[in-house]
Amino acid sequence: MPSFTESSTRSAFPFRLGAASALLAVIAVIGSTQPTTAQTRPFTISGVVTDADSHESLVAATVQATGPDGSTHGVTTDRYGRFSFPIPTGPIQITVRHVGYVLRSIELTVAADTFLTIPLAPATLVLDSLVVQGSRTNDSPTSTATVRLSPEEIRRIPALGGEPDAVKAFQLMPGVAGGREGEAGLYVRGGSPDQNLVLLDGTPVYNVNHLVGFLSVLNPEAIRSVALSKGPGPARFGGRLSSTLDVALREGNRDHRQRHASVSPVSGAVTFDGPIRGARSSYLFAIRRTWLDQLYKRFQPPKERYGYNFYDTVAKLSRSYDRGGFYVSVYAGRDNFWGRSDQSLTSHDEKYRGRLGWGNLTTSIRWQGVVGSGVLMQASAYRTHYSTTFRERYDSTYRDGSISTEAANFVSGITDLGLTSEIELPRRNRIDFRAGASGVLHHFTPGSHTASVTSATPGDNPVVDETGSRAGVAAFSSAIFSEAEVEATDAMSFSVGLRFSNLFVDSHSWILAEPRLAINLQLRPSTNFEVRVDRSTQFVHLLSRSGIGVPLDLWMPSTASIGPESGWQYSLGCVQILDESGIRLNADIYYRTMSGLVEPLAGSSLVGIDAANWEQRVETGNGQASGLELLARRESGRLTGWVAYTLARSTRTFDGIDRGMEFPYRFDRRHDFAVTTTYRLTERWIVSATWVFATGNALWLPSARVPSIEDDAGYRTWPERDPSINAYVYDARNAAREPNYHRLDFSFRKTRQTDRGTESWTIGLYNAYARRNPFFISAREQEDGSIRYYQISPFVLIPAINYEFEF
Amino acid sequence: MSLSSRTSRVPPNQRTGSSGAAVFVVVTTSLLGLQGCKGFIDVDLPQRDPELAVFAFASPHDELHVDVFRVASAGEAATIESLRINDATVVFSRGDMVDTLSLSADGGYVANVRPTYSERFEIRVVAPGYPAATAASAIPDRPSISGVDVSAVRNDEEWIDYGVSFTLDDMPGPTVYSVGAYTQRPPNEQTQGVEWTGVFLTGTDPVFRTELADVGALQLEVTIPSGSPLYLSDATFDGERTDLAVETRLYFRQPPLEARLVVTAMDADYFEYHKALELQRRNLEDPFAEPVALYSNVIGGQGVVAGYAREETSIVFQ
Repeated sequence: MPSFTESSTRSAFPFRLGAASALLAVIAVIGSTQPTTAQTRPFTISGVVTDADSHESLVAATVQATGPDGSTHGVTTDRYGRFSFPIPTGPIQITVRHVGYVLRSIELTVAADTFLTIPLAPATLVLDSLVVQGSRTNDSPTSTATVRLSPEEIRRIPALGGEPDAVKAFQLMPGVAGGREGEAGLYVRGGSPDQNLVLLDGTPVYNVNHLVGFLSVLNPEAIRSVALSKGPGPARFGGRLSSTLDVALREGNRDHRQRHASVSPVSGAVTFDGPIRGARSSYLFAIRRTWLDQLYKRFQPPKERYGYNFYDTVAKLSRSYDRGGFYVSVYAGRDNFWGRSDQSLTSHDEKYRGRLGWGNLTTSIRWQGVVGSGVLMQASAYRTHYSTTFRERYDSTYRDGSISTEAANFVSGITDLGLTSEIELPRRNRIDFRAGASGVLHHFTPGSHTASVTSATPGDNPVVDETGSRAGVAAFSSAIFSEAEVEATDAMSFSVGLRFSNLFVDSHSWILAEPRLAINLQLRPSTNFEVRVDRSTQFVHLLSRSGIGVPLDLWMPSTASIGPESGWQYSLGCVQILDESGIRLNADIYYRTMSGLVEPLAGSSLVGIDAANWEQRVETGNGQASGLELLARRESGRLTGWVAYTLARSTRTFDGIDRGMEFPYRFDRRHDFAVTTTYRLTERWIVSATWVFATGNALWLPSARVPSIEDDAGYRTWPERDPSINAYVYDARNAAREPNYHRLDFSFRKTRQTDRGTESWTIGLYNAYARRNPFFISAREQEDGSIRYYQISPFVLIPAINYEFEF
Repeated sequence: MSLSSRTSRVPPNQRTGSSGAAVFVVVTTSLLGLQGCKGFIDVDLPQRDPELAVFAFASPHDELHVDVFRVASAGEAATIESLRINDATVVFSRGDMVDTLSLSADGGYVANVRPTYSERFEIRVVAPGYPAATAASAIPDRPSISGVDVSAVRNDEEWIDYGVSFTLDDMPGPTVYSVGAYTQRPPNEQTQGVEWTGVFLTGTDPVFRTELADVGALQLEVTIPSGSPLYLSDATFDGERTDLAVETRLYFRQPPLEARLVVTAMDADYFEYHKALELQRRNLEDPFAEPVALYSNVIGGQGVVAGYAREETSIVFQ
């Protein structure tokens, strides 16, 4: 049910836009004109919750104020650790909770608007009595659609190659599939990876893959928190259909300098952070690089070499003042394949040099602060750039002295320059209000390619023949949003939001309204129900030849003829916290529709697609997904972890595929089950294990063959194309299935204090019982013309070892 | 856009250095194979019922020839002859005219009549043990070409670049053309009666070959197999007269050479089938490529029944 409007040419759906505008106004009115009662809410308390050791802010801490009359007001700190709400006059008690920290209570009497910095002490384990101090959990149920993982949880999960990975950790959550074996992609609720908005300190990142997808670009040492919203989430998030992965970088320790180093068979990483001239400023610098190229180098002949490496770096400077702060973040990461050869042939010598690289570079500067009477504000500017480049060059020197040089360059990328701002009003009359706006200037360079040939004979000037296309596309997108969270009664609250998104490209404008509604019913203190209806849209399309994170990703903007992707998601969720054990139970069902999905035409190559022709090389279609998600999770105690199960279905419909019949999505999984556990054996030893079972991915393979009879307009040509039986007949798209996927991983982690710092060893095994899960399956022609199906299972009994040292 | 930007003296298929695609595949495969397992597996595919595969490329220039086979399973070791169906009833119908084809010596079925220009026809095949297979197609109008001109430029000591230009009087409606050049070969034992060989051509405004330009993940060059025709869409000159040009490069010792320039108008079935076949060849064993289904317009079976009409003229490379 699209409600797109192309404002420059027509005004379709005026009523819907009008209604949406009215809704936006109502939300704004709710938030801004709510009456205040001087007798009961004269003051606002705002502040930030921090780690008592490092003074870094804490995300998702629960701050609750209890008034003299027993009334309570509670909020959760935002992604920057901030909170703000009104308080009644008189003495109040403020209670602050966060997973892994000691609960803290403060009693105070407020006589004016107040800003507080509340440090929380990390929880410690008392081994003798086997008692865990500190808060067990944030013991009030919250949204069912958001999953949050701490860096410590991520580190404990057994990882491929001993490389902790935030993205892969989320693959173990319900509603999130991981694509192919070993891949670090996220397929959220039947969506594709390009439908995930990955925010690194608020800056979009377009490609999260290292190592052709086996590792994500998120270095866990630089991460403070990661949260995944399944679905569009609140109205402040936009631009993607399936999810938002919100990654907050650490600010750096403001109390003392820290150094952290880690080594695994895949890479080495070091992190430096600490205060700058006192506790108000801090820095963080993290760098990680693979060793693989150094290993390969030793086994190759000098005249023909190839290799691979990746690196990523994070740098952040933070400066806080009494009621806010400035932050500057930089991320740079890149992967490189390269090859070179030197050949001596009869007629000439030839040198080949080739390099394929892809990576992101993001820069952001952010200000945040509390202004006026507890109004939280923030503004940021960012630049994000993703590109794939391929360069190759042949230099030939002939025996007669002439030379020939052939060079080819291919660049595909996207660059965004963005500005965002948000305000959040302190809670009044049980209403939280937030509003914001953003504007992004995009520049797409899809498939820019040039080829040149230079030839010269002795005594002559070189002749240069250059062809190619450097076409790019500029686009401007903007959005405004407002959202209000209304606590209607003690048992019911609702969140209503509206986002207007606009794209201006090539003299055409798309305007879309994205309403978001969530109704929350708290039947008991530990039981929550949530109903959500969300609409979302995205103005960027990803054309990707394969799903394994290979860097030939072409990002394209919506155009006048290829519209935006949009979708509706309906979900119902329930959270139950079991008081005795602290186990949190989640159950969600969802149904979603997607339209405007884009696929390359069958058999077409991504190289050769550029800004001028891409609309003719794709087809558009729709998708549907539905599912049931169950999660049981325990976050504190000696035994932590979760059990997750997903029953799901995801399909697609394209007019040009299977004559418009519905077919399963490539990564449609009927069942997906994961158990992730961590058990603290002693103060030093932790053992972790993960077991995963999933229905095999959908497959589209040839099932029959016929002679490949050809015709040359009646001419029998020589050499005659002898017909063989190698024309392959396929069944319905994705009708077959890969074998079911399952594996067991485990790891042991030993941590000990030394004179110089904290040392950790992690030893583990990935796919411990050697299940041959397919990375890919393809058809292979045999000598007799028949075909057999061939499978590569790269990850069998992969040992993992990781050493970390922090001082 | 020129199809081929390569002017190197080393033909692409003789290049011995690494290519970008090769580097990528080698490194990736090596990484995967560090401790990995690979091997053949059985895949649980949906069961297929017996089907006929029918192939017919009809034109007013030749007698209609229909090949009928049974569809082989993917893993079956079969030969062309073992798949031929010799007891089928093949019926050609055009308007009120109906003709039953006879089995010929080469295993195919031959009609006593020829299709005519601008007319639809249908072929129905019935064989014991198989569901009936039916397909319909149409013969396009004969393409009209004029003003054929050949120009030559000596490229270097060994090569001469020829340009062949001509005017095509396009018919209204979307049409796909192919342009090919063929030289007659003297009969000998090696050619076994095959009369023609294709001339290497490059051209402008190609649609088919550009789509097919499977430069892989890493290569940017486009090459055309010798002897294959070029395919052109009339999307930009629908219903108008237009000037077209193709190029070829010949060894200087090869001319003078007489060839036939053949311009073929084809129906959509002809084009889609050949396109799918070519794409399958290129993508089958590429694990990173999207599969391509074989195009078929046969109801109740596989294969293709398609029509074309050609016009040809003699050209001389001096």
